Amino acid sequence: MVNEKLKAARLQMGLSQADLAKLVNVARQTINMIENGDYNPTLSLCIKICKVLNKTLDELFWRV
Amino acid sequence: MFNDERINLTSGKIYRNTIIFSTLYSLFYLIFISIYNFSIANIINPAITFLTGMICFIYGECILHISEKKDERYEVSKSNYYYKSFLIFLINIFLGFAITIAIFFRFPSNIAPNNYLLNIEILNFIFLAYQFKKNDINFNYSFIALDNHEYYKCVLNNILKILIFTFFAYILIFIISIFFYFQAFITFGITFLVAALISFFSLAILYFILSWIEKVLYNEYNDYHSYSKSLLIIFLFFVFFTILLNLTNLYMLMVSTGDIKVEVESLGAFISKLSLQSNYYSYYTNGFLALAFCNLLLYFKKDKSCHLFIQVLIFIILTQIIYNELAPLVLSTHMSEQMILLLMKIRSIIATTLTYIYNIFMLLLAIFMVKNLRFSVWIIVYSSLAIFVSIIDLIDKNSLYLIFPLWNIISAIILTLIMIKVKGKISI
Repeated sequence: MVNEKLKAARLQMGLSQADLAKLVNVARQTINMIENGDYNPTLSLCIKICKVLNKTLDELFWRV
Repeated sequence: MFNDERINLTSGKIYRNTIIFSTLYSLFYLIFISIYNFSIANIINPAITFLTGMICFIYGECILHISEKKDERYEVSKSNYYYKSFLIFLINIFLGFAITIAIFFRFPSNIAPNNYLLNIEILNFIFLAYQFKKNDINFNYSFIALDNHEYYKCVLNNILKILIFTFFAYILIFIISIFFYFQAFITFGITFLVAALISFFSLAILYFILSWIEKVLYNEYNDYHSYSKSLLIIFLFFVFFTILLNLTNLYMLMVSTGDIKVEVESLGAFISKLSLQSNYYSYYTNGFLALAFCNLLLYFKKDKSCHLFIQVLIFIILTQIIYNELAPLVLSTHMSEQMILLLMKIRSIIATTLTYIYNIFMLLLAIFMVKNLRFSVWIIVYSSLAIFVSIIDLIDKNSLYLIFPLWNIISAIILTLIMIKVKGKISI
């Protein structure tokens, strides 16, 4: 499932996929795959992304 | 530099698959060589590969499976284990080569000592390149994002590691072997030094070229371009080795038929030297072509037909390499002339069938790629020429000895023109 919330939060901060990847110390392909729903990140990576984007886990990764 | 959990987990699985693939190949090689061409120098390296692969795999699957808890940590430790295992696996292949050299010096065989090493090197390379591209992982992924200057510093650093490794591996085997070859110390020392230099330079040059291509490819991500620089570099190497390969084959044929006179002591030895050279060129030609197809995969992530055709083409290249390596082993000097002729006929039929399957899928790929290409007219030229050569091949095989090398070179150039102008961008 595509993670629109993550993409929106990233764009809101004015970050490219490469910028976010650099900040959380992963490859830019990984960020792309998370946004496209092709990769399910571990909790520690989710927390890193949330900290950088200034969001909570619920706001970015919780799906009903 | 980064430490990506997705890449770490996926690469663990890739290394595991590569170990299984190489172990199975070494088993087949071992069986063939033991039946048809047994000698200690021939079996030592595949035997070491097979044993190392089996131990790594059994430990990884059974002991880790029993001892570790089944949660995220298990996956991480399994991935780390396979990464380390793969390094040990590679080191053992090179150690196997060093031991082969030592044994070859005392018990020479009719197969070149570096034959197996080159073969397994190129097979592993194609298999790894395909798996990495399929899973969206860059080669040198931990430092690919650095700027060019820093990137090449890391590449040179790794080349230094290769040098240190080669040096220690050879020193170790040299110290062990020196007791056996004490009387022929100088000759053995020189042979050993040459083998060490070949190992180092072949690895270092290949690693540098791959790192260069990967960096160029990485810089192309998300960028609309008039042509793909990375594909151009790969195809230039491919065309270069295709020309060398076909000219060598043509020269070999003309020397053996007497069309070209050469003044050598033994014509047989001269032709087998050329055949060995042709074999090396063939490895590199196939290797670069397979790498080009692996990179093309990135352009067709969502196009299922093209994706499938590219996968089939990579599979055919792998089959061709394995077939070209194993098939000659079946022929033995102890066989009757009739048997040798029959086996050669079967070999020729299988090789032709593989070439036809390859051409069919190449044409299918070109046709399905047409919307992504700027030079679609070249596809018509390529298809017409492929059909024309195939018809001549069916009518009269003997007339092909000049046309075939020419066709191979022309088709390689046309293929380059078609592929480098692939439209669109590689999305990340």
